[in-house]
Amino acid sequence: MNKINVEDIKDEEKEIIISEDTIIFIKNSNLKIKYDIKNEVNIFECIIESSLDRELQTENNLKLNIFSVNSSIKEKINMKKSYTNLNYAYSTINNKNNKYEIDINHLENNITSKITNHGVCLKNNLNFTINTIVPNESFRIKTSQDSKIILLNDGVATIKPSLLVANDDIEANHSAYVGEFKSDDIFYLKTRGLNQNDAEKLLVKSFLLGSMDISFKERNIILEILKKYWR
Amino acid sequence: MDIEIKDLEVKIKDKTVLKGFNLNIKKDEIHVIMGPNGVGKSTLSKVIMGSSDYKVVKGDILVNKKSILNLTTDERARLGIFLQFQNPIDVEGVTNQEFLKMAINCRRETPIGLYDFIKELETNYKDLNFPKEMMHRSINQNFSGGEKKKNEIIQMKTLKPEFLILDELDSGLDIDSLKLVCENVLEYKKESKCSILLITHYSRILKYLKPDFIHIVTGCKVVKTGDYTLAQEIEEKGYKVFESSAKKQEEEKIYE
Repeated sequence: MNKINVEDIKDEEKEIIISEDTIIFIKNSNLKIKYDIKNEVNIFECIIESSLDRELQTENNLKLNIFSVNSSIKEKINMKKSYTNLNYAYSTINNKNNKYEIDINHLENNITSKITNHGVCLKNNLNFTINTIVPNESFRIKTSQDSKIILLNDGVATIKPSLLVANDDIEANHSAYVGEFKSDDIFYLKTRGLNQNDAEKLLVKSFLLGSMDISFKERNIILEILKKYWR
Repeated sequence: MDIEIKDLEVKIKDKTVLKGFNLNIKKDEIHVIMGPNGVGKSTLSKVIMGSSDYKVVKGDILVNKKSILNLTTDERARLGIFLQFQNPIDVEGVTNQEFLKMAINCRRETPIGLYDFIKELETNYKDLNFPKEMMHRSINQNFSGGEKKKNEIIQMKTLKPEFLILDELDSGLDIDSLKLVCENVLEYKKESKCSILLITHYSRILKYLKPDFIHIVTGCKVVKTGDYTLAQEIEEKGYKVFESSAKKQEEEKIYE
């Protein structure tokens, strides 16, 4: 597996060609970046305390799992070939003002995309804008977006989900939720002896990891980051 | 563990859900609460566990003669009270194993050793006829109703409580699974001398658990207490006869 480390790089433009499964770490950086994806690949990415303006294009199936902490991301994904799939899972935990904006462009026919965005807002503002775009020329697209932000403490959050579809022959759906964990879930964990802190910790872990399709090793990387930046 | 519920009155918002509720459960006894839908049976289980949805406005709940009303839900659990849920939640992304380890360790001063923990868990999975690989699966995720109930009993056996509240343990279980689950509960009771409060609609589970007392609840309180023969009476006559006799008693009391 390929590994890319980007740390302390400010105001630079980069272009990366990815042709095999890759782990990417981006830390304390401010980047304008372009990913050109050449094969069917899995990408696992950790973005810490960074700001990213990214364009990603592919003509293949793509599985992208992104975990971020206190980062703002503006992303455009261009799906450029028919009969390809995109599985995109984004999980983030934030205590600063952060924005996450993503455009998913379906530029050919018969593309399937599944977009999942899960955020935990500890304080300040967290905003998600998710645009699923299907132009007039693209047929038989299947696309779904599911976005949730959990508020802990005093955070404020918004989600703007949009399906910008210019064609009839499309299956598109979206869901969005901003709120706290269900009190029944917290109660259940407490009946097993976990205090409020531990119950929240377990539910946050479940919420951030549950939607991602990652290996045991990648899961442990996220848990280490969570321990360092939260609990 | 001895449990005493004294003249308990409970409200949810402005609605009274339990009133004048009394119950005494001694160590090593099995008590059953039966009653029609919506009379407060499951409410009682959540009130004992300290759910913040309910407000105790009168009375007390004593455990070994000490009130637990000021304790939080997790403190009550660590004291040794275990509630088996009717519909346990599923937690995607957290395995049964890591959840149970966390739950055990919050009861201990030093964390449990990995070998002892896995050994204990493997035994409990085997006892419930559950593949041990299930411990690596997310909590209750994609489990059937019966598997969720078995998983609750695995949690119970692992956490070793002194007072069990079994809320409709029989629902969702086929006859073989019900028998297996009840055997496990009885075996645990024999080892631990724990006390049990079982909430159920139906008498079929009682032939396996053999309770010491059966209480009929209608109109927010216990209206009749008896032995196993009371369950047979319910099977024959239904709950309506007890509801009307309780209403009559209440009217006579007001008249006096």
